[in-house]
Amino acid sequence: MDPALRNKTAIVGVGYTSMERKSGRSLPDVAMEAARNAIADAGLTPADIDGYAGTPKAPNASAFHWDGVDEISERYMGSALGLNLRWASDFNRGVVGDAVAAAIQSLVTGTANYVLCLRAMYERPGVRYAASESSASGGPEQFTAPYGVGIGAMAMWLQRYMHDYGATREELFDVVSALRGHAQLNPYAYWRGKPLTLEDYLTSRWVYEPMCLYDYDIPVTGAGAVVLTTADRAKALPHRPAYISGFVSTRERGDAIFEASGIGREAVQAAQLYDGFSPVVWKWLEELGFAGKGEAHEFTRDGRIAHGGALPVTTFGGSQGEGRLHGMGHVREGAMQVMGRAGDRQVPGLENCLVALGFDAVPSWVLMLSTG
Amino acid sequence: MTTNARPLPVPDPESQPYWDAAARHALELPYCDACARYVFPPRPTCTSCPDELRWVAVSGRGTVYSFAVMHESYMRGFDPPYLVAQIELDEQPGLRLTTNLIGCEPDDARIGMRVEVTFEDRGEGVAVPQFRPTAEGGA
Repeated sequence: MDPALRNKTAIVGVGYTSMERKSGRSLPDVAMEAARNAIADAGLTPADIDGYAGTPKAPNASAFHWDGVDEISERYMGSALGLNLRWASDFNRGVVGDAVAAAIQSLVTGTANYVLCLRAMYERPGVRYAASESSASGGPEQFTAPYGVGIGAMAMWLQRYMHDYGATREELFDVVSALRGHAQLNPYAYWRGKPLTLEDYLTSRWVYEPMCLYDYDIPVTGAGAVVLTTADRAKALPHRPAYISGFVSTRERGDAIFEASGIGREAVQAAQLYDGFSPVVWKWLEELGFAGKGEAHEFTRDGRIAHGGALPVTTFGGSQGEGRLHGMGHVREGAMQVMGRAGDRQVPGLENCLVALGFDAVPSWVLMLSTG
Repeated sequence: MTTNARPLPVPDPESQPYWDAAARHALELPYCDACARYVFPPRPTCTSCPDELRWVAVSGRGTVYSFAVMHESYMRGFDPPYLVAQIELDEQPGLRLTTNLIGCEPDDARIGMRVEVTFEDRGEGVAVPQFRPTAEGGA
């Protein structure tokens, strides 16, 4: 990223829905609620929105890929909300970083002035999210599905990490526990009101052992949205802008975000680290240099990543505690922390918040948000 | 469930020789003579140079790089618990296949375990490489 782009754009509005399982709600219903909430939160109306960036992909093995059923496109959203879009695009990778980065790029190039980014997820009743009925698999899956390997790669990464560095499941619970604890402070979190003990964790059922049920994020029906605009336009809107101080692809080395933003690692006061699988938090802490290689399992001890700790991580509970929105929760929480609107979750005096989306196997983007 | 109900691979032009070899119970991988390295998964050319790849029979011996025990029945034809593994082949550091580890109880699986290829027939003209502990054992 060209340093000239620091603080030239900002997140100015956020929108939520509830996060439900076995919900009677449709995908368009939650998508439009989140979008309208974000637009209104920004002090705007749908008529102001002239750009749209989405990541509609339903990545689960049982997905239909039907627009308006388990995926929702810019075409659907543009017409359903009556938007007058000058620019709109959908991105094929489900994690929301591509949409946010495209929004930033469209704003700094003058392609659009107010951009809506959406992620909506649908948990189809009666279908196991990760189950596959497929009798034949091509592409990369020809080398995994015939072995009954769906999302098992992360468990094998964890097994190797535990072997190489002496990490334990009790230590991984430090991550899960922090996320679940943060969810207790988040009114939208699926797991709010349901704390998790070490015993619950260690006795829960295995999925791909050594990963158990609580090492995976929670599939929900729900949506999240943010509105971005240029810095000059942001100043006229109701909330303190959450400026985009830096954005770098995860193809770049982990610490590129600190150079891009001019905000050093030591100045980061909270980090919204992607947590689709609990070991991803360890991966990110090492990739970003907060912990040395093989040392993240020690870094996350003693509440260090919980609220009040040295580096509060994923302060809203994440995909594990709030629900799986493929990073939109992380973007929204980063913005709310910078805006000073995170309520019981607010990190005192926060000026800089890092947002790391995806992980090495699921490339996306890293953002630095700040008060500017 | 019968093993025939398990998912079958759908070969593409790049992977067809791999599955053709597997059907003959042979493990063959694409190799670049110029770079002296194997390329996997198969690609139209070497990934380090533009040269064509040549299919070469490999030893079928390796070590368990990592593994996991699957306890859920997400995939048809598999009765949990079963072992999934990444096997690093002896031919080249980092050359790994994702596969099943068979002939081994889940509790006995270990990183570093020596393994060899075996083949599971999945109906007419289809077999998939799997791995089992070698007689010498060791971890």
